Amino acid sequence: MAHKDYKEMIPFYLYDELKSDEKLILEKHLETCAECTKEVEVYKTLFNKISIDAKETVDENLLPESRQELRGAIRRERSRRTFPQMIFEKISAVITKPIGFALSGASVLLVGLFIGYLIFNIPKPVETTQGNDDQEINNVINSNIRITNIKFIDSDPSDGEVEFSYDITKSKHLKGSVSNPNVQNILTNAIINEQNPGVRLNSLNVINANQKQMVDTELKQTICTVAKFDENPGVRREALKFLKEVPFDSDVKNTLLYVLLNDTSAGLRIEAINILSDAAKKGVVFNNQDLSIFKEKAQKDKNNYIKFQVKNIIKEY
Amino acid sequence: MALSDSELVINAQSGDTSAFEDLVYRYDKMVFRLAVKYSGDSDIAKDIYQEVFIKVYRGLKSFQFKSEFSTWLFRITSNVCISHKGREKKNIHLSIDRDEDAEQVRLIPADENSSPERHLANKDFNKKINKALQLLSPNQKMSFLLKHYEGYKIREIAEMMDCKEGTIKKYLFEAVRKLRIQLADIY
Repeated sequence: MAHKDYKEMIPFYLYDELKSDEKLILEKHLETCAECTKEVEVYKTLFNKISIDAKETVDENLLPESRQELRGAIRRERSRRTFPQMIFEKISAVITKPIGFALSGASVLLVGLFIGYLIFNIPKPVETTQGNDDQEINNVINSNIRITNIKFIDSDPSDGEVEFSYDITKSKHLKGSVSNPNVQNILTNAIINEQNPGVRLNSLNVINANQKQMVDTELKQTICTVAKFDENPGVRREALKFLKEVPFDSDVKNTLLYVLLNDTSAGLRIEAINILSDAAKKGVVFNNQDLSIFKEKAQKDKNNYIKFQVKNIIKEY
Repeated sequence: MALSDSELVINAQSGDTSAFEDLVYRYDKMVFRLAVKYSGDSDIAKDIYQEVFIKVYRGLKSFQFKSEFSTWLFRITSNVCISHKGREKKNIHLSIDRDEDAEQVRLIPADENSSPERHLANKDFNKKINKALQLLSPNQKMSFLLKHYEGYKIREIAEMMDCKEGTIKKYLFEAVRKLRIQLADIY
């Protein structure tokens, strides 16, 4: 083996990615070759430095923003895939198959009949595939249930049968105390995932009506995220109202500082500085990093009231 | 007990959005870090992050467990990073006045108790390696990052990048050779 070949094996030797016989050959060579031994040391130093760099983590403050944007994108993605679109996708998929032209007419007809059947809710016996429960399907058709996401498993009608799956969405009513964990879980989910800002706002209003001295940590963190990143200023304002009432801690403080620094709405920045100002009056201690944010706002904020309030806080320290 | 990746994927495939979120939260730090390191720019990394997880969301229903979920996820990440680089090159004229300090990616030392001198030295090395990484070809850079920053085996990287192991070895060797030259002053 040429000297150059041994040298090329060294990085993989350090990765422990050589075959056992290759490893033995290289180790034997290293016993007698000073140049390659030195090469091993050079790579070790380089890899050690890289491993220290690899342990450094990205500032996690960047992640919540990306996560919130992703939630919005997923929401849009979900709403884009409407029922007619999904039907269209299924039809397109069938058309692209080799026997597609022959089947597409039959599939379109079948889908059309099925949709018509659902819309006009004609009370006639349901044709079921083997193994399915007649009663269950009758219940689905005859009750207030939405059928979505139809997926054909077998759309070939030539044997007299087709097979598909579908999702059923049923309206449910829930009545209970705002402090009931089930109620809170559903509302928290709505605050984050609901596409309609009015529903997000209403959910927040309901949660705001509840007493907040024993607030659940997960709920508080969710509302902190909403206060920082919700695209709707009304929803962000309602989230700040919630934070005003809960016990002041580092999560709340960091959220308020974030709003003070980044929110484009002066009204919301004022709301944030008012809560921070109240906290300062109650004896909350701000660290140097917080004070540097206040100093920056005292100089750069376009709103005079905010400048005045942050100067007052700075004076206290 | 936390659900496994496969259980979460199955739940997400049946429309459970919280299962999808759990999958995202389990891996998104790694994806984001890889994107930051690959692009050297946190804004580009945010774009990559969005694109990766939207592709995961769209593709999850047809995921057939032929590989681990993480392997599939990093294959998507690798493809998005590499194709994103292509788009970036087309807009290179925009970057003439780039403010390097402003673009410094915010990194936090793993050991917050390390001495200020050591922290400075690490920061200095971080700057150097970020600069050196940008001199590698997209495939060399991705192989190198998956090996040294994510700790994958060559076999796994080959699966993620849809290449033969020998090809990954070539990429890695070239990447290490180039970085060794660029970072010669550290040894």
